[in-house]
Amino acid sequence: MSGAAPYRQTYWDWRAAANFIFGGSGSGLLLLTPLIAYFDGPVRLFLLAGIGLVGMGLGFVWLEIGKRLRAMNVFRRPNLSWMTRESYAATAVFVFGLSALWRGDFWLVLVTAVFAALFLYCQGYILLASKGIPAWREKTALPLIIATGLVEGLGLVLIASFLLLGPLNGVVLPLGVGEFFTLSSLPGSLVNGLGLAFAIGLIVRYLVWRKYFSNFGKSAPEAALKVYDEFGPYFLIGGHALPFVFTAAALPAPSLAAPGFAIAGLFAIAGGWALKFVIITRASYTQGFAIPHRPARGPRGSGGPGVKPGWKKNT
Amino acid sequence: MTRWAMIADLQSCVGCQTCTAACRHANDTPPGVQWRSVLDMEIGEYPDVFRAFVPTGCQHCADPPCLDVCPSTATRKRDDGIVTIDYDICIGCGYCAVACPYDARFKVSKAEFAFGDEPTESEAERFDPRRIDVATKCTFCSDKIDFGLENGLTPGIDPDATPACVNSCIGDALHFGDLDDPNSNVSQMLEKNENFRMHEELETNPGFYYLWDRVAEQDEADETQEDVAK
Repeated sequence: MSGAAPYRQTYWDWRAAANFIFGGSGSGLLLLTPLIAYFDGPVRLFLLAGIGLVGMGLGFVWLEIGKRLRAMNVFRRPNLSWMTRESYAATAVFVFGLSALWRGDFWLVLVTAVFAALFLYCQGYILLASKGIPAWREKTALPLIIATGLVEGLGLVLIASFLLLGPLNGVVLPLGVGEFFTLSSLPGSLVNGLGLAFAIGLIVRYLVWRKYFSNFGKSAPEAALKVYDEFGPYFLIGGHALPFVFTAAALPAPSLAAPGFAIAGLFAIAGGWALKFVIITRASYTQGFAIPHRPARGPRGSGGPGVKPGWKKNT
Repeated sequence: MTRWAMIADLQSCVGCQTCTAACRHANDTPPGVQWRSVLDMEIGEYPDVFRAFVPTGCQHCADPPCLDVCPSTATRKRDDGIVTIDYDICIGCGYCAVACPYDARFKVSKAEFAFGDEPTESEAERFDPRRIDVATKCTFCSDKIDFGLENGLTPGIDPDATPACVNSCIGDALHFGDLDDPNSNVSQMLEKNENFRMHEELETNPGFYYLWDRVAEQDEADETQEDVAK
């Protein structure tokens, strides 16, 4: 039945996935910057990393579009398009984020975090609005994108907290108004709190993933389900079980905390990135075609039940 | 108001693909880009297998998801229901292509021709470089509709004002007309035939209807007429 069954879309490839990967991690990281600023941590490092990741993601999208010199047209439909809204949120992240980087004011950090949250929210809705791709339009894709963005952000902070104890400690960044900024380690109590939040985040992300998979499985292209069936165990073990074990082991042991959290963060980030890569480029099967009724043929012929090729039976 | 709509009578379509060829000729679409295509669908399982030929393409939805997602405003909807793309504004992001559940949008990144690297005379004459790297799709031959209306013709009735695919259909399976006019050809056909629109559950409100059977009352009326005639 050539041409009627869902097939994997080719319009959005790894470059689009990179926007969700880097943009999600970057905005997740920026969401945590007010907390870091509040505890007098080296917030400029995290602002720089978060803005850089969001910018890198958008750079990949720019490489994907057909008419790169017309990229500014993306701003033209804020009343309807989540892609336009994402671009506005990103612009605000850059404006306030760079201002916060320059000035170091807490309120600027806070506003940047708010727009980073909006950016992440827009990314979720970009998927939901894609009615042609069943794996994207599933409603729980929104909390999944948000949950993994937050976990990735926490993971990045935990990795940075380890690096700030060693190679990054004392590094001088030429940031701020006529001043240099020396990186210092994060307070231990903050790192432990974030470690606990990270562990909870892992549980939440896995539960949301299970809900997404279960909802999607009720009515889905068979090929997309097969992709998730194969990905699921790797995501459970590599993206959740292993980082959870490392976090749980590190939480009660101060000497293990920093390296344990960092390893856990690496696994969780890799899991989140793999999830988004799979959603965008592997499970992205189209709707395909269906007819609810078989046409009657001939003057005395009668119709009958139709067909929905390539979809799970009873859908 | 007017809402242009297309009807595909699945009882009559023979899957000859003449509409596909006519569309490609009329709109000069490159290889692999079929604004109008006809699916060959197999229904049932051996030994009770049936075959249906299903014309598809842009459904010119009243609630088009492609329009909602388009960030550049290149995709718009006319007052008569035809969904259009402005090639001079489109950024070629492909978002509309993944938002369309009817697989109706295309994007090509280089000029391709039917017979090798060089265009035929006809292709060279009509080649539009604005269509490279942007989204394209069926227009319901809106240029013909507009031309027809300006010259007092009726789209769907007069060939000069009717989409190329409809004009070319050898099985009288494709029809075009105004859905808002209760006396139009398409409104009358929908009244007399069982019909559906594809993927209704997605709430796109398509302007493309499929006829799959005659309504029971109509059958009875025709049978009575036949008996009287006998």
